[in-house]
Amino acid sequence: MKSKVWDWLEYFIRLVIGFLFIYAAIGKIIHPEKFAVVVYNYRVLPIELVNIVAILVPWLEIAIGVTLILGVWLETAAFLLCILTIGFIVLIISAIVRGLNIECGCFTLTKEGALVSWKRVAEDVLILAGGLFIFFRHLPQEQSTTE
Amino acid sequence: MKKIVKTILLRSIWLGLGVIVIGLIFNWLSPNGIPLVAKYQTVIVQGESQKIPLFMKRKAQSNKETDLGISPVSELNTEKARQFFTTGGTIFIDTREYEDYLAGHIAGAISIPFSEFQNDPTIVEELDRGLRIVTYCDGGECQSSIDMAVRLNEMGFEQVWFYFGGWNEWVEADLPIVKGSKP
Repeated sequence: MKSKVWDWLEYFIRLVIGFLFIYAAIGKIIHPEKFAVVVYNYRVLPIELVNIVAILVPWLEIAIGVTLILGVWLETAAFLLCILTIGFIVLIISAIVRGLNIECGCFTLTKEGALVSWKRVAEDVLILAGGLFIFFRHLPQEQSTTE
Repeated sequence: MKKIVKTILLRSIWLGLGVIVIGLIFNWLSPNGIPLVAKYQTVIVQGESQKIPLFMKRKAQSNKETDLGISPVSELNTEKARQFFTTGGTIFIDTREYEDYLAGHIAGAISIPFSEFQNDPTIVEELDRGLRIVTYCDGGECQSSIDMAVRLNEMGFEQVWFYFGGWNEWVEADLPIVKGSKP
């Protein structure tokens, strides 16, 4: 009974994060030129890499979202989710520390798009917690089936 | 444990390859697709060249030398900015946040915060294209005056310069300023 509750909780987290990632990626895929500006504004990448990152990161979010929803390769999906989210957290904090008043580019690219802030960091920390939860639940299971 | 690490690495590579292939194909087919490497314009700031990417897919305008002898898009020092200011026919654009503009700005300057401009570039459509435009921000570490000048040039404004010394150097030089919402 107890494990059933954990299963449902994990399923719920996977759906929420999965759909959130797909939702976040669609706007960036439709308007890569806007997302490229967001990537550039963080001022961490050389100009030569800005566009390629703006093109590929949303598709990585789609890949993570789809695998989470479908429940395939969950340990890998959760691993990539954690890496990507840690990257986002570091980027947002570095922008805040450097005093950059820029659009986060986290979930939307609309005119009212949210600026980088500690609230955005908190959201990403929650997502990271979800990612870790899924990752560690699937790690021992994989181990027992592969060993 | 080794096996699980190997599994994750292998699957990550497969997912990564899928992402690269689908991402590149989609970008290639999409009407909004962007070049894999951003085009950029090189500007000289304080004697050092800086690359400013061009995102608007429009051709940058030809940089003709003007009556004041400095070709756009380039940096104005305080003396040149003062010259533009006194000659007339020049509009100064304050690219800082509106609160900074209210606290004090170059006399006659209008406020177009760079963050707002990025969200909606059409807000500059009303500007008279016949005027010379000089963008400025705080000076020092501030980058938005350069970015704004390059973007404006991309949008077809031919006579654009950036005053990199900006607000700080203008105040130091004791040149005309205004406080409040009036230009």
